[in-house]
Amino acid sequence: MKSVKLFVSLFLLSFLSLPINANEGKLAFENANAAYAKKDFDNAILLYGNILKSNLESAALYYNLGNAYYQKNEFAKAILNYERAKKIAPTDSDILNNLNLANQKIEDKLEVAPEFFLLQWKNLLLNLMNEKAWSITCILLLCFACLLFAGYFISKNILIKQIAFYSGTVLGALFITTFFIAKHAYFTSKNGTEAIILSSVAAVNASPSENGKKLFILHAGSKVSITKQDENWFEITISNGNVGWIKEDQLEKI
Amino acid sequence: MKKNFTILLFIICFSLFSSGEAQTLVAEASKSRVAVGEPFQISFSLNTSGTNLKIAHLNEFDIFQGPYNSSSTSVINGSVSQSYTLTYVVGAKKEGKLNIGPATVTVNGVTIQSNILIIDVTKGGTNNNNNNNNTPSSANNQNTTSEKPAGDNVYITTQVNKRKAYIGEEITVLYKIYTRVDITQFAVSKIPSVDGCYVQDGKISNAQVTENIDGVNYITGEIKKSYIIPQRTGKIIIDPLEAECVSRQQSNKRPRDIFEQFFGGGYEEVKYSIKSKPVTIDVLPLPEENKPADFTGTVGNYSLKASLSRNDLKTNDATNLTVVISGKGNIKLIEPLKINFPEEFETYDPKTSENISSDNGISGSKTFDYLIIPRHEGKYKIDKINFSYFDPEKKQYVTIPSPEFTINVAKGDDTPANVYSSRNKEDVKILANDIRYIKSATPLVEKNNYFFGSIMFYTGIVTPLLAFILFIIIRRKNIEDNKDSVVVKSRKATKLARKKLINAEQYLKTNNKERFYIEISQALYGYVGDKLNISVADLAKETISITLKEKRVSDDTIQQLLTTLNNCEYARYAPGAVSGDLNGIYNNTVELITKLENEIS
Repeated sequence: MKSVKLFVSLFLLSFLSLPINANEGKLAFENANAAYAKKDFDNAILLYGNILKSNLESAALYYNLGNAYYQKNEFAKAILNYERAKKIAPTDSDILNNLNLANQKIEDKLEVAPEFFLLQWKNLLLNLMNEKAWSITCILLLCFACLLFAGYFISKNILIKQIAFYSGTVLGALFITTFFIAKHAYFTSKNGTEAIILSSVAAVNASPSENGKKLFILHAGSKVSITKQDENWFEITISNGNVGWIKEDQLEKI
Repeated sequence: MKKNFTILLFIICFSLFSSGEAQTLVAEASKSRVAVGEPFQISFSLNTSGTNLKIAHLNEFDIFQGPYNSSSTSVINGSVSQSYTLTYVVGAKKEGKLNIGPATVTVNGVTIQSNILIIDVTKGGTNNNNNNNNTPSSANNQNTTSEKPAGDNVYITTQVNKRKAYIGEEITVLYKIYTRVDITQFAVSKIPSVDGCYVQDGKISNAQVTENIDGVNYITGEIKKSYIIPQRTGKIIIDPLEAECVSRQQSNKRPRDIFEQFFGGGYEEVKYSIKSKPVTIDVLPLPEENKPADFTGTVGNYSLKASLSRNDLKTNDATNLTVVISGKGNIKLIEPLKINFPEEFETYDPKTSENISSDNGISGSKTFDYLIIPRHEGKYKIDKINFSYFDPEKKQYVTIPSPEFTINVAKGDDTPANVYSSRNKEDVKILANDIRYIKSATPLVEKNNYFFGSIMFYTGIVTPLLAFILFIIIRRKNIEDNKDSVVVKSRKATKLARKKLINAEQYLKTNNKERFYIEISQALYGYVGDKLNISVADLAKETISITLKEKRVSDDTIQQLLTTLNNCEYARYAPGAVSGDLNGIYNNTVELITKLENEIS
């Protein structure tokens, strides 16, 4: 038992430890924020971008960059960055608020196709936490389940034994569920199945070629889901359910 | 005179050509040069009787009166002559050379034509001086009233007291009628509108004044007086005032009968449409120079008075701050002054009352009543209020400060009777929707640093599982071990007891009572001790009975065991006191152990 405790504490500690260049990044972040405060948005965008180039990220970084683009009236890029921030912190009210405002500024007002209620619940559940938080929850659930089962074996009182057994079973089931949710969150986050249109006007074709029949036109800022890839063409689905092929350089993955 | 002459001419002509029966149709105009709208007479005269008289279209003229027919028959030297005249009073609609005619008539099957009249029409009003001979006096002498032009007889002027004004500066606009004919009816047909201005009507005097203009006496009257305050800069056009008036003038038409003459016949009503000229006013913006910060656009000349109804009061008592602004100018547009009351005061929107008169320019006063209720005791100060306005005459801004007030508030009764529980609570007004501000603090982490699937993650999953399995294994082993020792002991117990019993049997045979009892008691103690896993030191009869009870051994068996143990002890320490055969005890013990073996679970 002791070894488990030791492991958990070590494991949590390892999370708090920051990358080596984090301090530098923090300084750059503060500089960028200062530029933003002075309404020097061009410079702020440049500085935030530099931090991203040094392979660092955070929800606040994407959020602030999104704000800078918003102030420059570049709403598509603002939406892209808000969406990236949302991926890290799905429940942050500031991010959701600004994303909502930016979405009101874009040209395409896409009707959202009605979803099956179970699918809605699924998305709601998935958006509750990010991949890291789900993974940690998963591990913690496993630890508690093991502890409860151990308690079941140790205890001589029948009532305690029963409680420990049933709650242990429930936690075990939850562990398995969260494991799959975490896995799903990990794959969606890593593979980036969603993208934002960045070119001001983007034609969506029926086939992955320049000569394909044009199906519909999307404008900058619209969110699409990528379902397939064929060389430098993506098959996308938009929220009202329409499907078509679009060139790689007209969108950017979230 | 002309007409008389014409008639004379006719007569001459007629007498000359009477035998030849020459028929003529003559068109004639009273004037060959007229102004636009000026009434003049045109007549068509035929010196015989004819039919089907056709007058040329008079589209370019307004027909004021007519047509009037007049016919005459005369007998001269036995020959009868007839003449027929058609007369119109018309006014030209536009300037230029206008043609009238020709008119046609059929006489005895022959169509004859009249001459063409050419009228030279000039711009209205330019011929005022040309017709100065048509003074009212001379008009009365001659019966030609209806021929006179309206532009000359009656006209309206728009008089303004200034052509250039600052925005917000008051301008007086006076519409006046000038006439030299008797006006019997007068009606304003179009009230002028002034765009971009605040308009307040003033009082007009009903007196008729005689004015001499260019040597001609006119009767003048004020129609309308307006005070206008421009609200925008640029050119402001005061539209013309249009009116219709009817003048009663002596008619040149002969009364039809004596009654008509008696009841005022011989007069005719002449209708005039008159219109003033539009006036343009230049509105200048207020100078930016020295503009006070608290200036709100008030223009004029004002004074300010402020008073406080009470200076010393208790909490929850009310007091009134009254601010009176009086003067000349656009008083209606004065906004309530923004007074910085202390936060501890409950204040309300001021009650505004106006007292404005427009007898002689817009003037008056505006009163703002501020109700104040102090909620806490203390000494408070109301800062002075600055009221700024622009004086258009001095062309500069004027700021008048109000006095400062100090209010002493003493603690009032503890029960505030008149506290309004509903203070002006308002919903938060959403002025604009903007994005929320950037976040400042953040721990930055490496990109694409996914936790799921990392070694750390799998260690996190596997370690608790391994630990749990380890725990189970260790526990299993321990239980196994414990189980073994107990089982072994309990198995040994029966063996040992049997050994002791075999010994006891031998002693029974040799009748060694002392040894027999020792063996029996040892067999029992040893058996119970091993079976119940109690150490020898704890082997007291009480412990044995409690432990056996816990093991759900029947009370009878426990009692039998305790009796047997007691008997053995008695027999050992007091051999004489115990009787009974050894065989019975031996069998009893064997039976007891068998029972215990069965009952201990």
